[in-house]
Amino acid sequence: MFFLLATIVVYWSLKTRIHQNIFLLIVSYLFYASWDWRFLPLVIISTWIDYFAGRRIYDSANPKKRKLYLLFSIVTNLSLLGFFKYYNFFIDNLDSLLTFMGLHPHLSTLSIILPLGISFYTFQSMSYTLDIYRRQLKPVDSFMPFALYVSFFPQLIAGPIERARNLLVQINHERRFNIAQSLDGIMLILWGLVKKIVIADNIAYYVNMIFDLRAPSTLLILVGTFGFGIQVFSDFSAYTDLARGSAKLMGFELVKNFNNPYLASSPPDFWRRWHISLYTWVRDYIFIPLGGSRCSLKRYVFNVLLVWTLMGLWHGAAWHFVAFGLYHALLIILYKLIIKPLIKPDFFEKRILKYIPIFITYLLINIGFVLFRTPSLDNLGMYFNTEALRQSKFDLNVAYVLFCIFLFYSLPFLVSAIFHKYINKIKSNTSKFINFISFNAIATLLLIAIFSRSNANDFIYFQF
Amino acid sequence: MRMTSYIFNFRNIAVVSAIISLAVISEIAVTGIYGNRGTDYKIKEEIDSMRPDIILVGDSMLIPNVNREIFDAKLSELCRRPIKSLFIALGDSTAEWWYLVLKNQIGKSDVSGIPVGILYRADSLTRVESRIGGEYLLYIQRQLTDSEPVFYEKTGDRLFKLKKIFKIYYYRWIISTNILRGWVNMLTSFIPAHPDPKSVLESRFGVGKFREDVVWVKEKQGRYENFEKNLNISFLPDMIKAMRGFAFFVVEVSRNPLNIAEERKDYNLNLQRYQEQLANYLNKNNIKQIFMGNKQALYDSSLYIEHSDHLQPDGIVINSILLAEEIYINIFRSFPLKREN
Repeated sequence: MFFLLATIVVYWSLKTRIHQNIFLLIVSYLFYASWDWRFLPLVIISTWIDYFAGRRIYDSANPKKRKLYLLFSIVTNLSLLGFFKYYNFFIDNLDSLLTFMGLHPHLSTLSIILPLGISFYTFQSMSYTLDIYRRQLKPVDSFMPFALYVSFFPQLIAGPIERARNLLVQINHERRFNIAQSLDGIMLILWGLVKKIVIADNIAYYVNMIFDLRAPSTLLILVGTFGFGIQVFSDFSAYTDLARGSAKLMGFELVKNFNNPYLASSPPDFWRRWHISLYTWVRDYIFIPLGGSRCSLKRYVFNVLLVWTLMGLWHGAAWHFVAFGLYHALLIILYKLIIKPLIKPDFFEKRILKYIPIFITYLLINIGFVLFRTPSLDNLGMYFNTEALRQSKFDLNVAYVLFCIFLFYSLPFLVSAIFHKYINKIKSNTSKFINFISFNAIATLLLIAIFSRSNANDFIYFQF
Repeated sequence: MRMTSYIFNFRNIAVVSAIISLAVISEIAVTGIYGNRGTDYKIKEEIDSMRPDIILVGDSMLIPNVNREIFDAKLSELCRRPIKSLFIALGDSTAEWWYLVLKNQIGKSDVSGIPVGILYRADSLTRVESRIGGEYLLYIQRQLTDSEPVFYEKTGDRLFKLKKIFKIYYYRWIISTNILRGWVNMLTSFIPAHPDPKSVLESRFGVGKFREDVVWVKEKQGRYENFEKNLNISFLPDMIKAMRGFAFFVVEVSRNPLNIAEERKDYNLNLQRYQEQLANYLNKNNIKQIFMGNKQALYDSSLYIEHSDHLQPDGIVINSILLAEEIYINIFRSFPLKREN
């Protein structure tokens, strides 16, 4: 918070946009280096490659050359990501496969530390060259604004994954201090703090206990998964709120990454509301170029399976993440091919009936989170076997108590939903809005003072 | 001008007043609900009225792992005269609490010269983790006097005094627990079983219920790596200082053999080295060290509760007798007893 405050004060005291950008770039690099300075060159290399490739793609009239430079950008970025994130996973599985085939290669893994935010900034950087290749974007004239676009500190570690068409354009334009935008930013930061410190960290404590049990019953795992659904949403959307709020204080508008995902009425609708910046990235640069949904049935099924396997793998180099992706692919395919054709378009539009698909989608999405949270696929057998199922009846009381605890920590969402109804009215009057924010600041401080845990966790999406 | 009017308008002044009121109200409310939890000398009063022959301080390794009646009976039998012991124990307590008890309760009592021992496990004599927040806050605060420079310096919680201004923050663990408990109790009253949330959670998530790898990772985290560094920031030198005038000694308790099994060889090597350094330090300071961990009779995992260092009833009996014997040999037989009249 002190870092942010100091940055904002110095930032607005600088006279020109160029100075502001240089300052923000230095601050962003310092911010990244403060986590682990050894990986800062990686960010700079990734930035330079895409800056260089972007210019060459734009300047070249030869389609072959354009493709070659694009491939250079993609291969280099994916190689960096592949080495740091997936090398050990690949070697482990290759070793198991060769051993299964009767060979004993004894391939050794490396002790690689995953650079923070690598999955976010490589995707962000790649989108620049891809957009230039598609002639949707002109390259920037100098390295500095592009370097700031890749490393902009509020969203460097865990997104949202910005497109050059949004963030880079803002970097190249003058920013003026805007009280309404800043107040909006403060609101987002306050709400982000509540979501992370009050909701996510407290729920994480109980969810971790459940998943750390030696012999959890199926019922407890289901309740734990319900808790994890709240935790992961609070945790990740909190980071996004903090990123968007901080950016607003500096006059930038970052994209919305969440749009009430648990109010989705179908699995595809869920992905239009959850981690929107990743979903749209994958949709625009992989799914649609592959043919999207406007192709043969076989091809569509293949496209969905491939894209969601990659989405799963993006979350982590482990089979349970692949299973998480595949589970969502199956939900989407089943919905598109079976459920959607069966239901009349206006069937669920009636008053009470409209909550049915929301509830069913919520259940299906939450069940899928067990694949996300489990430490490995092996543990699934422990969660869902006859003994675990039999044990469930002895865990009825504890499951109910935990359910009540999760509900308790979700109460701020209810309060926020009530305020949300009136927020536009409040925002229209600056003086009212300032008082509203003062009240929120006190409430947030009070909630944090009372409900924060001494052993706070890192943001879940930092590991990606 | 516009900015000034934003800052100094009536409503914002009201907000600042609200914060100040919050501090005052929290002071009144918390004191009203929980009473003044300032230093109490109940332990000191007990020592003064009971005038024990020996005092033992510790955590759950003392209570319930040692039965006072059996211990006293055995020690009396060995000493051939009635021996009265006083056990001062708090489950999960650590050196911060022990230090305050030694300094502010035993050290300030009317008795002196009697043996005072601390029962510890592994590195708990020099452990640097600070158990001063959450549920420990009340117990710690009960032992604090107005001047505790060593405590504030070593716990590193420089905000401790500041937090006291906002009592609502100071007692936040109690407040948050009570609010949460109230909510859960309200919701559990709707179901026929009316389960008690606390006991339900404790029984399902108690000792021994977690996967080995998880417990192990949590416990391991490089605790035994640097004795010298730990010693300097620990309360051990201060405890020794506070116990001048008493026959101070320490007892390393026995542990579940399953907890110190073969697969933890590296960990044990570190621990062994650590214990040697600790023994040298205690020896240099003339502090008697008793080892219960090498007692063959206690090297049986069935005497312990599964995956825990807490003893079964049979284990408690054996442990109490053996401890009495060891204290007799090492303390009562070696040191001439000084009795206050």
